[in-house]
Amino acid sequence: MSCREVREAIRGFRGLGLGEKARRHLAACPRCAAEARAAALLRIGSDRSDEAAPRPGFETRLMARLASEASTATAPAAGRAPGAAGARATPLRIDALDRLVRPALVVSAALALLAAGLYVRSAPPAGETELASLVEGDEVFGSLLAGHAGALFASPDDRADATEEGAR
Amino acid sequence: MPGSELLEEVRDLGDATSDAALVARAAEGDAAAFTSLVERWKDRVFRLALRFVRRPEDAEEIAQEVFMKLYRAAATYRSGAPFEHWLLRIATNTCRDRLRHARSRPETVLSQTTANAQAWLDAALSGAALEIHEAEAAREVAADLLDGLPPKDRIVLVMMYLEGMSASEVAEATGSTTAAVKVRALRARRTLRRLASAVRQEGRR
Repeated sequence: MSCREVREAIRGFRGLGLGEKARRHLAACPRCAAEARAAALLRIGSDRSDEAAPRPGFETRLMARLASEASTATAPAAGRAPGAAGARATPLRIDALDRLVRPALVVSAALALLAAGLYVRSAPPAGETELASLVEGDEVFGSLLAGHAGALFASPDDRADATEEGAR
Repeated sequence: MPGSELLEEVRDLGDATSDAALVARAAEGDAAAFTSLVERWKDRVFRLALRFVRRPEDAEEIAQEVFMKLYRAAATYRSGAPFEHWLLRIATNTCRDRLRHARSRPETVLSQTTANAQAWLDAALSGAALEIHEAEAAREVAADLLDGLPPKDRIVLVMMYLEGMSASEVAEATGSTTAAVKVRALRARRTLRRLASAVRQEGRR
């Protein structure tokens, strides 16, 4: 057998075994023997039964995944998921929800904004209230509002003395 | 019913159940058409995936992913190309993505393998018959070594030498050219020979 014939036999060899002639050639030809070992490594490491099949229910599990994907996606690729009735019903249910829930959400949001606007308008501005309470209790602001700028330049001690004198 | 009408009906039936017709109907949301496609091709995809992963659960996960991608891309299928090539392209891309996460270094694999397992693999590579547990251990080491191959190389090797596909068919299925596939196969076989030789050397130490 020639090297070419042996290598063709090796490549076509899928666990069925090589013939006696090929084996004799391999014993005498290191290059073809290396090729045979490489082919065997690939075959052994990638071995699987020709009868292997996925577990029962493969289609059902697939359809469930597609339905789940369609229910989370905003726009499924082909409009709706194929599959069993359940798989199809999911996108349809979403359409119905969209029709009812989305307008309701828009109206509620608009009402909430309107209510918030009315509240803000009727309530006194928080900033102004705080400022007014500060001014009422502050001596310097009080004197400024009364038209006397002197308190602005007086030291805190002078202001305390003046207060005590006023009290006497 | 006249013979010509019957023939016409049979032809229509054949067209309606062709892969191309089923994909077109699936793209329009026809659940039954999509299910028919899955039933027809699931074993092929599952067995191909099982060449690259050890656990059947992982092969099934790959097969599920392939059909989900197929469903999403159904509208892009052009019936001029054979459906099997299109399906295999999706399948090989999915397997390649999976293999990218499973890379291992052959030296590490061999250094972490028991002397017995290496000796059994060495014997298996030379064509010796093994006990079941020996064959199982040898298979594990071989699979670990193949995990060290670049994913594209491994896909080409498996498709050409185990699935019996020609270089042009592999090129079609992987979106490459025939010349590129041949070059890759040559290079990958060289790597494979080196790995097989390393097993022998390590096993003799």
